[in-house]
Amino acid sequence: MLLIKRLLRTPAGVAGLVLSLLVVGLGLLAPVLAPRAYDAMSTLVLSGPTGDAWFGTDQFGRDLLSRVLYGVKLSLKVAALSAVLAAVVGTFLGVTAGYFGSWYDAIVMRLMEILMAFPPLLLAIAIMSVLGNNMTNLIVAIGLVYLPVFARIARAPVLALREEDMVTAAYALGAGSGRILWKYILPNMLSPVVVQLSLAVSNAVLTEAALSYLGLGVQPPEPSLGGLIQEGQPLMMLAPWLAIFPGITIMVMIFAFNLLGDTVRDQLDPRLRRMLGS
Amino acid sequence: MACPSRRSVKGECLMLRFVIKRLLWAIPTLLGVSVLTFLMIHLLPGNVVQVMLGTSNTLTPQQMAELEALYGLDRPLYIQYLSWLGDLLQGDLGFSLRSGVSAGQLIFNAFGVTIELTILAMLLSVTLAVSMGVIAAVRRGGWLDLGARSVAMVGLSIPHFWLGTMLILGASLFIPSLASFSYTPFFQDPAANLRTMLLPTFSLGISLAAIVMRQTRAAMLEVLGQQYIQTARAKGVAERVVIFRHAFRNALIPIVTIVGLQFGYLLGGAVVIENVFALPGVGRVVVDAINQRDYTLVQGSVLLIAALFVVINLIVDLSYGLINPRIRYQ
Repeated sequence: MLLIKRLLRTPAGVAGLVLSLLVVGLGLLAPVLAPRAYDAMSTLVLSGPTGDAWFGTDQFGRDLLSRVLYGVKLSLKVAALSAVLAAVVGTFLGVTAGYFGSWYDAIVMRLMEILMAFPPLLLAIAIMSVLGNNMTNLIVAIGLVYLPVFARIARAPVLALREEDMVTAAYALGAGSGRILWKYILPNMLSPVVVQLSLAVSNAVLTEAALSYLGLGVQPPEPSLGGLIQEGQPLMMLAPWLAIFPGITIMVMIFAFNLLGDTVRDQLDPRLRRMLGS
Repeated sequence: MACPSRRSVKGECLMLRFVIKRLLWAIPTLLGVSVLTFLMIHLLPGNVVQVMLGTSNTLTPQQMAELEALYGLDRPLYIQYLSWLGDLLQGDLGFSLRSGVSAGQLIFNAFGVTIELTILAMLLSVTLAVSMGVIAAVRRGGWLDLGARSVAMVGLSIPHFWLGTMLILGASLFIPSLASFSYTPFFQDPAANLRTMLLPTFSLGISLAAIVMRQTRAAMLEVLGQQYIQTARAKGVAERVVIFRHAFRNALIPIVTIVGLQFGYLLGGAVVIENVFALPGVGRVVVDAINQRDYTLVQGSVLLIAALFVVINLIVDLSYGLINPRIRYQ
């Protein structure tokens, strides 16, 4: 609640929050808001934007607005689940590596370094080429790509926190490692993870769109925003709206999440908050 | 390593140690990358021979076993890895499962295009972003600052492959010569090459420009708030000198870091952009290879790009020591 109050203090925060809620709302309500089923064909092929079909229709007479709305839903689902997967697994690995140290820390962090040695999109492409194209694999691939960042971000504060008096006191009172991690370490290092999570969602939206554009994401007829651009590209001179509207939608989604993520970071980073305030 | 005690050579010696330490550190990462890419092909259902034969497999189990023995697939996994690594160190990436041609040859032929695209995008974005970032920081809170930040925010949000698609559309309508899909190598006709590369470079470079601009602005703002900047101004040093000699040089480390880190993102982005503009680079090779289930080609391309990324990161690390002498003393 405190974070939302802080977000509402700045125009960028308000804009980011409103736009993000709008995007999430559109995605969640896609089945209600979509004028037609995303795969319903009609005789009205390649029609430009009109009062009946706001975003026009494609070569099979399918309503583009409906396909874009379902695309937003799919994109949000993949992005949110992969970001959460990366955040949960990455934070677990980072926190435990930082707390237990020793060989476990060395192995985990070397593994993370190796994963980070691959350009993210290329790693996602390689994973998808091995796992095959379906939504679960897409979520796992994108989650794996962003996991090392969370592990690194989570590990750093734990190194300092484990030396704090509260941890020593809890240990002296007989608390086990699990309890210390859950009660004393985790609540005190979540801010950077939350910031990274908000930024990871926008990165995941972009990665999902790029993979779908390359034909490595969710397969047709299920609409994904990147896939819609790919489908529209050969018809661009004849029906430019097929590529324009899905692209603008991705742009608005990323803009909204970036704006929100930036403001969350500004508000949760005390040093930055002081700088902005001064 | 024994270092001479004289102060003049001590700095050079520390720099050498710093370089050796970083070089040694890159070896386990490169080995890890090689293990991961090697395992990639072994995670596939079946093995390379089964993938190669596809659904038209009419061989008897005996013939399959012979073929697997021929490719060394009957050996323990770690022996296969060591053998693969040995070939790799001699520049042998195996052969394409589809065309039978050396994978290394196919990838190296395409690599020049990817590197050219990445370097051009990097040059464009750094030139644009650093100048915009410095101006935005110096004019903090003004219209120029607001404009630069807004452009950066939009630049960050545009998917590069969509920007590429829109640029093709715009060029087809207004400047058809720019919408050409026929790639000409640079050394064959530099003008034609650069004309073909203009739109892909812009599509790829714009999001990096946004990131670097934000980092430049933030780094410059932090440095401009330091006491030594106030001291320089109080001494009457010209503002141009304060900004470029005192502030910009000290703001360079985070800028170099972000540019170096983003090189990998550019390489990844190049994979997509090459497919948008039909450029014959590694990105096209990878995607075509995935569609044809040509996994040795995918493996080789991924390995080569990842190795290049590790080397770039190493160069970035080494450049810190040159930019800021304090780092090599630590």
